[in-house]
Amino acid sequence: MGSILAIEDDRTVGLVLEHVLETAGHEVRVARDVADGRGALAEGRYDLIVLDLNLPDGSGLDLLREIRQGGGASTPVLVLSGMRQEEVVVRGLRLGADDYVTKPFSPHELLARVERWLKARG
Amino acid sequence: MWRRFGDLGFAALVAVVITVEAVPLVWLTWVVLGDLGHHEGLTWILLGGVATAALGLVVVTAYLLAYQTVSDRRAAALARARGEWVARWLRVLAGREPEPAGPLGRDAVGALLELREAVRGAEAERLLELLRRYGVGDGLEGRVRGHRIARRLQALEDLARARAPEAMPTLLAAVIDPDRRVQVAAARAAARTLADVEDPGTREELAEAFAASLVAAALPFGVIEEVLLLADEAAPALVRAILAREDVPAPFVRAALDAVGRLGLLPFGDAAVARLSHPDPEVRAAALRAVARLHVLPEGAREAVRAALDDEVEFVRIHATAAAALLPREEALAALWARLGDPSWWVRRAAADALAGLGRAGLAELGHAARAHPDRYARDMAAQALRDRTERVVAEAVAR
Repeated sequence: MGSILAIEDDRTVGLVLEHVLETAGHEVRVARDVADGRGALAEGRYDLIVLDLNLPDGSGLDLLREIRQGGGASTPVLVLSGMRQEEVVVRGLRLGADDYVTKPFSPHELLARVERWLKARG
Repeated sequence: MWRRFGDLGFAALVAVVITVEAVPLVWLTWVVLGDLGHHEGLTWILLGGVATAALGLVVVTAYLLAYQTVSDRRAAALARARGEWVARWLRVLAGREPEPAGPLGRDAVGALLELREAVRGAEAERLLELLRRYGVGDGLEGRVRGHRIARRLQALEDLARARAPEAMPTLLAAVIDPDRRVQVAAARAAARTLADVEDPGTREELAEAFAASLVAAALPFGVIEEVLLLADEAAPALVRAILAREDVPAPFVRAALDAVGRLGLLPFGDAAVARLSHPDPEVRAAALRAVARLHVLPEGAREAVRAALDDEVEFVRIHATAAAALLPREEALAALWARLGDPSWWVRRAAADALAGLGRAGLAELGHAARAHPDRYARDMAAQALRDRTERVVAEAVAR
């Protein structure tokens, strides 16, 4: 069981994440944009972050860079994005994302990946 | 400013206010022009006109404010209702709640479609089953065949989210609809539906029918490119269907060849090579781009690339320089050296970039060209390309 921050502006995707992860016993907080995400990161510590890239008030890649340069350097970050272009995936991974899942996504696969990273983190 | 709710009411109110204002003003004009001797009544009419105009403005302003508030509240209420239905459908999928009794309301259907769009795998299949059980697809297909354009377009968007293979005949019929807006929306919906078809045989069959509809509708290049992007994993089937047709217009071939290069579809390498000598220069350029991206240049195709380096069309020569890098090393160096002296700045730049991409031999050739190329512009371009490369290497090293 872990504490997970999902930064995702799509209400439906946010609800799916909440449902899938909470059903599996994890504690989930959903932030709707970059500012909300920064606030959540400042308020608490998380075992894993699920991050969308297209956010209404900025780019998830910029937030990822901030996370890596700030206090969340060792927190696993799983990017969940509709952008499938090779260069975006490569850029995300180079900026420090630990995993990349494209939308539409399989909830089972996402849960398996999340739990793998939580296990690796110990 | 566009609002989802209240547009019709706003338009009607504005029409009424303007009419109410216009009546006394017309009357006033009539009186002033026709009865200049009776001044008593004229004062009251003038006052009445001004008061009506002021009242009209107050009413319009009040409505505008109310309109914004109501619209925002209704949008929030809609989002809340959708969210509640999404949560409910998730509980149904998890077996924690029984399926609701039909027929479904608009929010329930919207939430089901949103979920279907968001997920894939077993849950997506189960959502498709639910859509079928509640007859959602049939209803949407009926609306696509209707007369009101806004409803038709909305139904096509919903069908794109539903991705129900059984809707393909309706979607393909809509691709050849006389209305271009319907054609484009239907093509997008069909591409997304095709992307979800997993059985290879069915996918090939539907791709062929889809290609036939696209050709019949003579959709423009940009739409075909978008369709090939949306088709996702079904794109190879669609590319095959397009390239297999003899009646296919040049923009379709271009879009298919671009998809071949972008997606790295090696099995279509021969199809790209076969179009290196196509009569349409845009197709020749697309074939060269595909060949360069695939890094495949069979021996029999080398002559076509050599010919493209001397093509009369500038942009064909630009793409030919990238493909020329695939020629045997000595031949590539010689061909690109020659293109450094091309009359076009863009071709010279492309040749210099291609040489810079050929490793040490290419860089050595660029250095040689910077010193000894007989063309002054070629020497300048080679030197510039070397300077740019050095700057980039330094910037990358510093960033690391």
